[in-house]
Amino acid sequence: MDDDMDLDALLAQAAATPAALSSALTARILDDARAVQPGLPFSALPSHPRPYLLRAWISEFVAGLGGGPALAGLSLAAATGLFLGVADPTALQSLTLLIAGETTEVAQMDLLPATDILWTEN
Amino acid sequence: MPRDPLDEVSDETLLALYADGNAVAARLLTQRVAPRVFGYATRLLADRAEAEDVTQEAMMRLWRIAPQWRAGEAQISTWLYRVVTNLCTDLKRASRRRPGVALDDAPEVAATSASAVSTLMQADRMTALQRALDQLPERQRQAVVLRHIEGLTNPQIAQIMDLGVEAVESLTARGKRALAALLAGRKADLGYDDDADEREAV
Repeated sequence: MDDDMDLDALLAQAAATPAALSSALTARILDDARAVQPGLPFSALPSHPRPYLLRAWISEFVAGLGGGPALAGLSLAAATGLFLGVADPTALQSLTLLIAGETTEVAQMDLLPATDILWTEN
Repeated sequence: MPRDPLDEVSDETLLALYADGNAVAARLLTQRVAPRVFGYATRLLADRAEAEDVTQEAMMRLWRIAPQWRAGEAQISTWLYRVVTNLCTDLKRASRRRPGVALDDAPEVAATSASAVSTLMQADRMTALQRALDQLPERQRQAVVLRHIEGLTNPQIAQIMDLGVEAVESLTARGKRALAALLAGRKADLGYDDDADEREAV
């Protein structure tokens, strides 16, 4: 496009081309209007969800935490903390006795906590 | 068909009537302002479904603010343009973080009495314009659409975009120059050579 006249004509054409509002969208808007109209006994919640906006808000929330990798790290840390909190610490008894000087020989040392409790029913 | 007396009242009065529980006011106000809101959102997002969501959300915010609306402080249309601008900015920011989102849905062209070829040409021009608009930086696109398609004044745009009038003038001018450059190679494709020939013949 070489001159402004053509661009102006194109923009004017766009301005004169109305965007058609679908009847479904009009219905959604009017349902919302009825739902929150003051003094009317309707639910305050919108009757139609807006999936794209919901996805945007979730994306903003995840980004606020530092993105997907940060969320994965946070989840792993939470799961590890839960495991360490629930697992039986008796497996460290031999290390405790060694440090306390109550024994001088340790044949076998398992530094991981016992997981038996996780598989026990009731 | 008898005219509805509410057809004559201002947007602001319709919003006040809605806040007072008038059932017809919401329909009339939706008919008046929602197509402009939707058109603007479609130009910014180039995705019909997302533009519909933004339109619904902007209108919902209008319904919710209706009881607190202070007459004379702002125009409803300007307020809505500002809400849509912010919603679209948030949505664009979020979609940049989502891979593989297709943004290729120009607004539909309303049927006219022109010939089929002319209608197709018009649709091609609108699609080309939309694609060029999509390539502009976000703030330039907002300014160009508000100034040259929505027909707002620079002070109104400054209010909507939270900028000074001079910044708006600069954004609009740079956006229009960039738009012309993006469309420069497509003059013949879009039938502007034919139009020039017709003008010369006349």
